[in-house]
Amino acid sequence: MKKPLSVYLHFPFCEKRCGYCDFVSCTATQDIDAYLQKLCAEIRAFDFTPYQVRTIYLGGGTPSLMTPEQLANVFACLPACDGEVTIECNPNSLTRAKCKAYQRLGINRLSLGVQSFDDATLRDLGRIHDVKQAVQAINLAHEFFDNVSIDLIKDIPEHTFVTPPAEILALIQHISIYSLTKDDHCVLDTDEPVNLPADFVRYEVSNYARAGYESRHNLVYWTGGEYIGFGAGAHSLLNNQRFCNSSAILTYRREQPVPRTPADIHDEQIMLGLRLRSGVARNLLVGKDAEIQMLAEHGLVTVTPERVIATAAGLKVLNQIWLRLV
Amino acid sequence: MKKIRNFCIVAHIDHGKSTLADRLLEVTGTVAKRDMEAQLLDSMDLERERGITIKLTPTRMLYHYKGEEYVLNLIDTPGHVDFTYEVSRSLAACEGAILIVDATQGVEAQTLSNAYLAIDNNLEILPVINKIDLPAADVEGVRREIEQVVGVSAALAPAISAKNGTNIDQVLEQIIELLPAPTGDENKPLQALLFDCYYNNFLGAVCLVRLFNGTVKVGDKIKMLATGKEFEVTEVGFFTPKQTPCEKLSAGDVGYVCASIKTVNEIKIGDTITTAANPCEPLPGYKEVLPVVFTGIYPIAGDKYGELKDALDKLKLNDASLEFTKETSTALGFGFRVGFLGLLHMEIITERLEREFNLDIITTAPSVNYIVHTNDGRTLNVSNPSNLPKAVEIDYYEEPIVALKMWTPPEYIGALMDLATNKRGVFIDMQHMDGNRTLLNFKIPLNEIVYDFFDRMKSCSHGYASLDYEPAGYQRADLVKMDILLNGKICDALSLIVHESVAYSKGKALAERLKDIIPRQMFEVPIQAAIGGKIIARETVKALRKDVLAKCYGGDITRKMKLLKKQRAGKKKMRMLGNVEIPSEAFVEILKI
Repeated sequence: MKKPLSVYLHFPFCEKRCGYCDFVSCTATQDIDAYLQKLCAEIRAFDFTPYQVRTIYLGGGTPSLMTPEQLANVFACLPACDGEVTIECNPNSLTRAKCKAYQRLGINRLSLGVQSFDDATLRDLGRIHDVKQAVQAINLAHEFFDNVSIDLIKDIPEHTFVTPPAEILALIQHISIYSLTKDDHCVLDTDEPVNLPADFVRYEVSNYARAGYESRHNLVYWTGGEYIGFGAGAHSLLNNQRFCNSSAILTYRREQPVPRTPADIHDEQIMLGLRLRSGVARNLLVGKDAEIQMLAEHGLVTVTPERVIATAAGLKVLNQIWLRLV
Repeated sequence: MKKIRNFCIVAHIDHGKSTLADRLLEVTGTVAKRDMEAQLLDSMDLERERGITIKLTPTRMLYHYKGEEYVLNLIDTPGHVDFTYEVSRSLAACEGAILIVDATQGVEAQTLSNAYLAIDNNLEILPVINKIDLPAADVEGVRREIEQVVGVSAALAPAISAKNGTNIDQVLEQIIELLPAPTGDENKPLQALLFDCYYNNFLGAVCLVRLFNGTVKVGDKIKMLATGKEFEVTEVGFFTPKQTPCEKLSAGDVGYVCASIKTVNEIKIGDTITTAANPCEPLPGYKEVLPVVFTGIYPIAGDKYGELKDALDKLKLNDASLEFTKETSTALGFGFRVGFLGLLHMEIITERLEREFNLDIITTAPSVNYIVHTNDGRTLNVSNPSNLPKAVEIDYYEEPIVALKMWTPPEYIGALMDLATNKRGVFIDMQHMDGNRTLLNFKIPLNEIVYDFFDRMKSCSHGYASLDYEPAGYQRADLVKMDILLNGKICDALSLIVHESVAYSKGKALAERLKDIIPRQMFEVPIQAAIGGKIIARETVKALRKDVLAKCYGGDITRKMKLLKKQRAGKKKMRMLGNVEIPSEAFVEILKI
């Protein structure tokens, strides 16, 4: 019986860097071939024998900058995947030819970096596409794929969040909505409401999906499943150890694992569980009954016999809840 | 015995007492210069940092004068008003006192109160004018002031610089020439004054003694007259300032006695030590020292209660004036009600708990001991507001009053009068001490001066005024208990007993202050001040709008956890009161209202 494994591939190149992005990225597109060579070597060096790959995620950066040939070379290094295969695309670099190539390679999910349905917001964010291009890209993606996700950003100072129009919502299955952050922390005192149709269920703090279209890959991260990351700055959880690659694009190396105590693991499980609609198992919260009751009285969590689940109000102050429960 | 001189040094704070002591040790060769650590007699770090002495360490010095060898016993005394009784016992162990006066400051409050204390103990006063190295020194002016204000002759007072070591020999010569030698009879039954003690891990309580009659040596059966307890002597000796055992101590000597006394609680400062077989008359002046300021001390982390208890026990070993009893607060859990001699004493103890024992503690508002008369004729002593009976059961309160003396240059009289009157002080009289100094006498409730009176006095007099006070009985007062409600629940640790006339303004100020101190939380926190069932002030800490980590994808969980842990570390200094998180400094901050 092979162990399930998820694979993350990082492609750090972009036409233009966005100020708000904190992933490893660069604009030195002349290095793409050299990078992909190193990436392929890294993948080939990994022993997949004990594993069945369940999900693959190509993130960036802008993976849609890769030519179909380049992408095919990368996939040639990977074992077969029997589940979700996602590629992140920029609306302005998605083409019909690429969509066909993705299909051929077994990619079955597209994640589009739409970011906003307001041109002024896109301009201020420094994006190189506009709303019209985004709408075109969504229509194109929908033609080829029945699992399309878009990324949006909210809580941008001096801008108002624009909910995707109904005709767009009809074409997509999944939406990630991130709050613009400073130093990883959403403590900016703005919290724009998100009003989506009820068939988009908020299954994680920042993620909404139609039933059955939750991101399998991301759920692996959030539920403690094993994953291996390839490429600059990619993270892994394997054999109960978390480790990552350094961020130097052409000379990245695997860094020493960060030691985790059982207490650390426990704290992580609570942090991740609180973010999910499925909540945290009660058996992880031994001795916290009084706290749980208090949180419930304040409408911050709902409690079932097995689980504690953050409410919409609770999701806004998850850090505070976590601090009470660990 | 004619070759012994027992003396102490008294001074106002910062007039150079410890520096002179250092120089005496150095000039007599008791401590080599290279071994001198500045202000050697103040052995605790905290004392050294604050430049004040708390513990008394008597030191034996040898000095050759006119071909004879003299034994000079220096008994250092604490200089703060909190420790007046300890000072008085040390003074009783001496025949003379060096009175140091700063040549730039002149006679100050503590100069006077300590000088009078020394005179009351029939000590010969030897004035010394210090800090003549400073440009502002006015030796002749200070000489006149000492004569006019203190009323002792200062014509021969050596003008010295303890810092630079100028004229230290003159001080030593005058000690021998002018201070009387002890009198007493070695052949009479043992009569020794226990003027201080400290705890030693191997010897138990080490009693610091002055022998007036008789002798004491190892193996003697001794008896404490006030407590009636008997012990067998295991070691006697003196300090150089190192503890140095010797064969015996005789009448006139100052030294130490160890007798397998397990804790300092078994003995009382000021007690008379004699022999079990042949007891003497008790020495006069013994009294039990009672704490005047009380506060609750709680660990921030509830599971540190045991550690806090151990720490207090250890401090108590060395500090018989420290009193504590178990106390339970609904808000803060298990802790202690601790009694102190004064606010400085309290500050020292809380700082030592934090520094030496590495404990994070919460100190509740200091309180004094009130006498509460109930409708059914009972009389209760209450120092913790939560122990008060219900308001309807209280007939009336009595509160402790002190006689307050403030010395000030005339230009600040108005400001100080306002300050004392606003604190419910009753003006008694005013005395002009000399051209530039006035003594103001007030009766004032103790609870009005335990908070920040000293600081306010200093700030409204530009630092020139000084004060001293002593208990002056109890007086009926219109007091009320003020409760603070957080999230609708009374937080007993924040309750205060206040005078009715200021209750409203205090309640309002307190609620406003708490609103600023308490960080925003997951939910709105109403803060209310209440007297009886009546709300007199209300403020609200608004709820946090948002506190959540950003997107959690790309698999980088480690960084998120780091951020959360950082946030958690910031919470370590917070204390949960019900559902509300309170920074520990809140308890101290509210005192400043």
